[in-house]
Amino acid sequence: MITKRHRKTIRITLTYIICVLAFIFFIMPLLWITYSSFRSPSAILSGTIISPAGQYTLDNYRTILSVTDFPVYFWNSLRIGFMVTFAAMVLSIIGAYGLSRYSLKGKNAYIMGVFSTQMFPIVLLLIPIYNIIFTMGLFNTALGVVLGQLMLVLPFAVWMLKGYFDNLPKEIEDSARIDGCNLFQMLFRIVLPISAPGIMVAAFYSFVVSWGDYLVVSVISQSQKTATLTLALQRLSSSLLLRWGQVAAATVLTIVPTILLFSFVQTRLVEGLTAGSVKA
Amino acid sequence: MKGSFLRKNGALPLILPTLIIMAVFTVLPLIKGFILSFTNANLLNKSTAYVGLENYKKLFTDPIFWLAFVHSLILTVTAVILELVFGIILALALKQKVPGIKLFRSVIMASWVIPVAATAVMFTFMVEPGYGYYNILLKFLGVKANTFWFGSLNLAFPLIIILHLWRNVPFYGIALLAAMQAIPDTQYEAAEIDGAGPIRSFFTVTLPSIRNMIIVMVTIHVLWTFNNFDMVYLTTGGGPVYSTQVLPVYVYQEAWTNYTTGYASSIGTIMFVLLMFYFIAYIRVYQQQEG
Amino acid sequence: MNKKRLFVAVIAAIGIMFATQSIFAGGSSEKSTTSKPASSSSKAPAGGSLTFWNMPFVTQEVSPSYVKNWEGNVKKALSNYRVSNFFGPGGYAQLRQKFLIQAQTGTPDVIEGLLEDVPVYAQKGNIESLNAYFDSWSEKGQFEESTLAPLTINGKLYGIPYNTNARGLIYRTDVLAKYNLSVPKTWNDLINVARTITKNSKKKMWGLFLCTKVGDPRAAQEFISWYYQVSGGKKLFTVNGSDVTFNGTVDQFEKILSLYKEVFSGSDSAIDPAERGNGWPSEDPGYVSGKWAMAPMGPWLWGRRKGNTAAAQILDKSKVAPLPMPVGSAGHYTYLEVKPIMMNAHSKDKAGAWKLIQFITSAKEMAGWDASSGGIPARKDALNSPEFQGPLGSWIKMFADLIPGGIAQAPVNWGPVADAELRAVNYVIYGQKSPKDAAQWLYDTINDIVTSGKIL
Repeated sequence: MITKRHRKTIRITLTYIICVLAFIFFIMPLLWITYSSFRSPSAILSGTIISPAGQYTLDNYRTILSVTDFPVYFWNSLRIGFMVTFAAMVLSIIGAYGLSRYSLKGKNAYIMGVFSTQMFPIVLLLIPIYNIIFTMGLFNTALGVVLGQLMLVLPFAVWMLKGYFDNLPKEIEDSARIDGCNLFQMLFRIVLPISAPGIMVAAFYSFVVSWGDYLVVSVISQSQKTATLTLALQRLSSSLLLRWGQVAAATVLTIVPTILLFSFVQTRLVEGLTAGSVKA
Repeated sequence: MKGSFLRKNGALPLILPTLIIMAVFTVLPLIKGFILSFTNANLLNKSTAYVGLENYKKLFTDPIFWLAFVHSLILTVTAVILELVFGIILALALKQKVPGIKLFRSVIMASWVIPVAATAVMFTFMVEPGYGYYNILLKFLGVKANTFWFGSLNLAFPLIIILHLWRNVPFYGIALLAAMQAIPDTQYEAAEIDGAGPIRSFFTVTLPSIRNMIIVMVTIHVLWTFNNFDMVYLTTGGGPVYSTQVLPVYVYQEAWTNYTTGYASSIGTIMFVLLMFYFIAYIRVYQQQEG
Repeated sequence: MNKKRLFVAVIAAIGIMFATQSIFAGGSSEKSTTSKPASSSSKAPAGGSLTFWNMPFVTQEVSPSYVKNWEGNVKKALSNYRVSNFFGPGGYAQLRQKFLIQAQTGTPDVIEGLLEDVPVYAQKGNIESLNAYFDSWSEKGQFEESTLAPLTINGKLYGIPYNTNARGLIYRTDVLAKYNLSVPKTWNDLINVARTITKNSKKKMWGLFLCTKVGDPRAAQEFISWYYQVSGGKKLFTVNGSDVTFNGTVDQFEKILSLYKEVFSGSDSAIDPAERGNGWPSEDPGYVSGKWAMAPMGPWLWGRRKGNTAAAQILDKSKVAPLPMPVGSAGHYTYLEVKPIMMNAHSKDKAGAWKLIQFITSAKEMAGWDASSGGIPARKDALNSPEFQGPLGSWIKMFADLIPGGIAQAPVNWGPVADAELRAVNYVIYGQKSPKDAAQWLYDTINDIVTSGKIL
């Protein structure tokens, strides 16, 4: 007979085993990259884990930060990422809510229409995307990049939020409607708080897709005004004098802000809001 | 009149902005792609002629196309199933309220936020013989397997799958966790009163509640994996020999190495049709269960 | 409740950011689309602005300090113009893709590239023929004829060379001396010497390295060097107007593919079998960290000295010899690389673009650039400049001596051909096909590429 206490011990042990395994698989390679970013070229190529004290260096970071316009690209990535996230959330929340709660003739056709870009190889769409953005006069502008990336983000964001809204109980909304709430009051007061975890995942997804996008940026951007971090990374990694240490340093600089952002989102918003709404 | 239109199409005004953006960036380019697939278009030649079904005829007798097709299918099915299984396990672990779990939830996402281009370069670095992370690790564990993994006929393809897992499983974990967090505790309590153990309550409470999220994740990852080109292109280029050649890489090579846009478009169209079939079937199943 | 407020505040902040950004973006888009030539814009200097896309400047192949220096110099030399310090996307594949998509916008005005890019851009009508400009340039006599010829297609000069290199076999003098070996002259020597090194060092060091990754540009260049050794310097393709003739034979390919098979076979193989399918990201770091004793190489390896004393020591003990040739062949041949500076045919200010090209390929700038990145200047006066005296000079000279045997690629689209060559190499080194069968497959595939028009 397994008692409740045993069960708790098993649960905690299993959790830690899974976490340790996940840590080894997902995080260790990144720690190795981080570690490599502080090593000199000869230390990296030595094939040993520990190298003499003199072979650790900050040069990789110094080079990246001083000569590659890294801060400029970083800022571009950040603001474009935020713009994409914001626009994607506004559009997909109302769109998904509409699809979930209201009827629409030929709904499936619309959903498929939204998804069709994801079904065609994106490398074949580069020239048309360029043509459209150029015709709109948005070539080499942040807005152009944002529009291009929205195309990548929206299908999933809409689809995911629709799935999330479908799962929510409709009773609260019905009573709110009787109380005389209009659509936007209802969205803001009732739907958003309940679905915060889902919205956060969708928002984070949007941000990460924008942050990691190379293809759209490479087509639309052509100056420091709009070039993002992935472009900078791409440059470093295609150099004839490829220096692993610098690539590692650049990778670390790309990851750290997103992890900080995510941990903020995770602890402050998701848990707080869910806790609040479930109790209510 | 107006009232009945809105009752039938009430969602339209809400979804309209999204539709407009997608239409501008999707419908026109797609139509253009379909038309190109019936021509001998070449990026460098100014004259383009209509060749009927020529490209498609060629496609069906092209052994590389079929090889890439099979690889794409295997890659997509294996990667998505494994991602889902590991993703659920990870989500269950992340859901537990144990000390340190919050920190773990934040760092576990790291592999997913790295741009794919950087992931590819990093892994190339880490599978180098002699000084690569994995070979050092194996040497440390006493396994004699010092090799360039992307250059191994037997390991390159599994490694590509592992790369997909490495990148995507954390996202499954976090997304499914979000879905699990929305399940009220009362449901578990009710199951417990009915005498359900943790395994049964997983199947009777957890799984049905996260079903929607699973469908969403699987759908998007099938499309994403089937269409992903940079993960393979940047690590193995489709080699060694043809062992990792997949459809999107083949499309890329036709379009941007050979510049045969017409032929590339015909491969793209086939991919589109396949994914469309999959998507329609999925929506049918989804709505039948719902209704 | 408090947390809800935080949520709203964050959303609002992002919203405001978005709104300001889009206004800003809208404004600047107007600027960029209407900023046609000089005169229309009041802010720009009299000559307007120029853009130069150049991969070595963004990938740090040229030292960042030189790039800073260059930016200062160009301001002085072209004081009427504003030359953008955005040098385009990194990587030649990315550069090519972007240029093919958007050359007609007029940006960039000037573009750097590979020799293999010239026929592609010319076919697409994206680059300007420079004969008229070049013929009236007083310094044209300084350019080596051998670097101009490859950039000329059907009598039209499409680029001004800034750098050239030939490939040689780099080897460790200390290792050869230690095992009492002499520098390999034939393919058999190469295999034997390499195997001896592998054996005597107990696999602590491997004799040789060759790139074999599909899609790796260096691997394709190495393959073509071996081809020139077999063909006696005859090109793989002859181009006459729009006709392309394929000169390769099954027999020639079989010889090359047998070499690839041999270097990976035996219990003490010339190349580490673990390195099969690896490419250029491994070749250079491996050599300067002492993992292998020989490799086909170009002068860029000099750049690895910087900040790496171990690498510098190994390079001090290295010398360069002509690439080994098959028994019975006469004369040494190698892949000849020539790097062009080209002018966008859609540039809105061609006179300015030409001035920029003249500046880039002036004796002083060319010498500084090539000295920093390890290339052989295409100009005589640049090669004689002070930068190329001393240790760098002797290093460069070892490669410059090989240039007479250098063969430039025929002006065709090499992408599909390179892919086929390396698949064939893969078939052989992974034991999937015999050299004979793989040679036949390669011959048929290239024939197919030529007849189906993928080659231009």
